Amino acid sequence: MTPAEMVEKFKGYVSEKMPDAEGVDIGVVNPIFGGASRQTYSLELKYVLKGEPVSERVILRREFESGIIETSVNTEFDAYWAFYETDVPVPRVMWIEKDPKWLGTPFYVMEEIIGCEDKHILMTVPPFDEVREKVGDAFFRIMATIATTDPAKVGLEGKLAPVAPEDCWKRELDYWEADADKNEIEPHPVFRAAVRWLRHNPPPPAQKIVIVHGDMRAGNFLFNRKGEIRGILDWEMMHLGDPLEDLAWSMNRLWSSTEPEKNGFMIPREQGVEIWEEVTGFKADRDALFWWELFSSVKSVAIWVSMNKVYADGTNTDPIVGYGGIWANDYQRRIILSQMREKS
Amino acid sequence: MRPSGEHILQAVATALITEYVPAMTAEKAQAELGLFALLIGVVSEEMERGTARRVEENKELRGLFAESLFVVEDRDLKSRLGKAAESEETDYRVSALDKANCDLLELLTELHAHVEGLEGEGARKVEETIWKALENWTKRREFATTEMFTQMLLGSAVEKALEKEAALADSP
Repeated sequence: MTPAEMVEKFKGYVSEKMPDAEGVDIGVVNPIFGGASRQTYSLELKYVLKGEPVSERVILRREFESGIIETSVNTEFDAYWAFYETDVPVPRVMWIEKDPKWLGTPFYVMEEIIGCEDKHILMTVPPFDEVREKVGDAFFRIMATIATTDPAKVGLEGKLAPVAPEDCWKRELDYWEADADKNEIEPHPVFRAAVRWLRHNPPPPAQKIVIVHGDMRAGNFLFNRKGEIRGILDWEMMHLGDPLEDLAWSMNRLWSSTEPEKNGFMIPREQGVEIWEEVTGFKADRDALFWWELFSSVKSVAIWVSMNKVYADGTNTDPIVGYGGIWANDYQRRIILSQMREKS
Repeated sequence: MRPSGEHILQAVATALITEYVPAMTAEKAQAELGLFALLIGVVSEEMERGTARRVEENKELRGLFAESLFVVEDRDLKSRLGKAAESEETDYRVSALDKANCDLLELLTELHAHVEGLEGEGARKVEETIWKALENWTKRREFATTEMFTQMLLGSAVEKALEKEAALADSP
């Protein structure tokens, strides 16, 4: 579907959703970069309501025909719905649509948060580097808040698959190993060695079963020049699990390649862990955290392996998929190697 | 071919980053053009080293298999390792070298898992040799252009972010 066709169909969709609105039109359409998991557009929605002209910017996230990670827009929508107007900043969601008659695949619509950046590498250079400490502090506090939010209190009870504390690690490892098995187009001996180590050295049971964002890292939130985080994004891998999973994922050195001592180019790794421990009241046992950090490398390689697969078979030739599958895969394997050598 | 393919591709990538990326107005197009330049950069490196790294790695793996045979207890694995150790390159096209490389790496993974389960000094020695081979495996795949090109692209990203900020401040 071309962007022009998409806009036309979306206009029809909005008209049906807002029967009181007149003259529904779509103004500026900007495709958003970085959507390896979703096709994302920023749209200007224009209409007249009770005689008053209205213009609002919205984000449309549509599932790819061939996604990198098998996730549903429902999970993201549920997360935004759950955390809206809580201490976890998220955009307001408007509609979710599963009927393919509109845009071919399921999609959802939410408000656009403006005046923010998501490119965390900007924090390495002036003038954005002035806020990195503040953003880092906020990031860990928000991550801790997610981990201490009662799923039932935000309406997520029954929407996420249950898991026993002792099974968290195995469920995640089984899933991502199977994903790599399915998509691998070349052997990854370092990845396989890490998977074996993880299986032979399981972590202790989770201290508590909590909401895990699943992709909680620098690059997946919107920050501004005041050092505020205005929106936590990319919830498609949200699940119930071990609180250390998100913490470890955020610490993956892939997100801070040129400054590996920092978490996501923001604050020192250990400082982040201390904030998280203080706010959650959980203990980040360093051996268990190492297990989850190594797991995060394994999960990450599995994702890059999937990118390689869809790029190689031609089902998704987006340059971020091509480049991610090559560069990130290579970099993450080197991280695994150093993690494994550190352990031995 | 002179100038070399590597040289040409890197010149193209540099031009994209320094001239064309800053000139793009649409944010997505700018970011994607930057990624195309990064992709061209890694392909240029692979073009230069592609054959050499595969030949070198295949030779190293065959040598490793030959040296490891004395600890291997599984007869089938031992036989396959022995055969692989004696194999040679007959086709120097990258695709053929790649196929041989993948077969050898599959075998390396099997050998690694087998040796991890064995007791004794010999097994530990082989395990250490495997880790050294894996270190070489990752080093051979490192890309030198990525860091340089990413830093170059960062300048444009900062510029665009500040332009966006100024436009927002000016909007009613």
